[in-house]
Amino acid sequence: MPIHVKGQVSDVAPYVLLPGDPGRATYIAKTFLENIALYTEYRGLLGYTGTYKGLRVSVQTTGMGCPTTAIVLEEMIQLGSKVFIRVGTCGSLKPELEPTDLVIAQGSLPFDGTTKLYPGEGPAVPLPTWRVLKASADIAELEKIKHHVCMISSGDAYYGPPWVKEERLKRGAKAVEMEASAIFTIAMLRGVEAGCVCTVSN
Amino acid sequence: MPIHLRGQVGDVAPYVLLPGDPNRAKYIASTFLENAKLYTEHRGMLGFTGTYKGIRVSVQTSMMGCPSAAITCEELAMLGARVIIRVGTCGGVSPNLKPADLVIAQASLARDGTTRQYMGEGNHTPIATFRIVRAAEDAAQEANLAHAVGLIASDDSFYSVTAEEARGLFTSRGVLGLEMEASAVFTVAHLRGMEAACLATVSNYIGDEALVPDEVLKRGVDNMVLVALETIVRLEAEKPLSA
Repeated sequence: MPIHVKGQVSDVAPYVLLPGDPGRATYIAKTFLENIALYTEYRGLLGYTGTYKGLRVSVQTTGMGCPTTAIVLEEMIQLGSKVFIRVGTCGSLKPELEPTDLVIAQGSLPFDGTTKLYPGEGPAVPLPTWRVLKASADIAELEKIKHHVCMISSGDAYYGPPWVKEERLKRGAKAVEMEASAIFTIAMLRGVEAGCVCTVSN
Repeated sequence: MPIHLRGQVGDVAPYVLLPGDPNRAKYIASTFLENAKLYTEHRGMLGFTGTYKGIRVSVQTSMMGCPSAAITCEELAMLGARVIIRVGTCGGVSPNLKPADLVIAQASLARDGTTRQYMGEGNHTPIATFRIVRAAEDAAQEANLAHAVGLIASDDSFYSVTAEEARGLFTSRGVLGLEMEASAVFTVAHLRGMEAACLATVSNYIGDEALVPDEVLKRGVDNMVLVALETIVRLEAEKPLSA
């Protein structure tokens, strides 16, 4: 049993949704999944497994920020999960991204510290796994959900200085959040697949 | 008329294939396009415009390296290009790639100086336009070609990279292949409001001295160009740019 995600190998599904908020994890499990079971509640990082259209799916809370997300993801991989989709909120940097629009991350510009530690010095490009990205875009199109496939940027400081926003815009990021860089980086390093979809909250 | 690409507005099509090698530009124009016409040959950077399945397409030589590719893309923007698809070769870094396999870049790890000069210090991520990547993958799938979609890296030096360093780029950063132009192409496209992507066929493994045999490379190039042109057909069907 891992140190923080206190589940057993048999508790978690190959497919995992990763919300930041435990309240949202509970909501997702209760609203969208059938036959749910709570497998961990240690540190409030609630984790549920249930089924969606017959597929086993887990919903695991990450908490806020790349450091906690990295811990949770590493431990979910230890428990055997294979495909991770972050489901969170993001802030819009561009007027065309309106509240409740869906943002599908094409990549994350890392402004966080965790992503720097993992690959070591030098540039790194945290990208979602292509087939996860493509499947998310396909579904959004099919369901006619207003969406944007674009670069996002993960940062460590929610209440950070204004220059960061300028820097992100200059480099093509259209939305900001705080977890995707770590998820993409660790998924790549550990040979699992990952994607990130966010709804614009402000 | 720009300083290096000596064409006029109107000479260049909205869709441009961007090989590094002028001979490859000529080969693509004469083999795959109809009614190809040379619009520039200054500095040997041959540029042709013709049609593919009725769509106007240009093939413009970038030469080697990000500095030259950046000049080329800037001047293509001045001449009215809207979609740039680099068609080149890359050194294989991922052990899963075979010679003549097609790599479709999602983004490029910018190890070059040009991108840094444009964007300043800091972590920049030159990224390919999503709809082109998707169309290219669909085209590759339809043609039943071995392909990988993922990260590539753009370098300034062909001869400094060791096999060990290349392995490190794969294991620590997920780089599939190494080439020398994509970062600049993506960055200039981002800055000038164009769409861009990069297709590359695997010409050798990093660390191997020799390239793959000519006939294998030719097969890889032909497949790649076909995918690039069929990508353009898909893009044009989705959102017509040709008036």
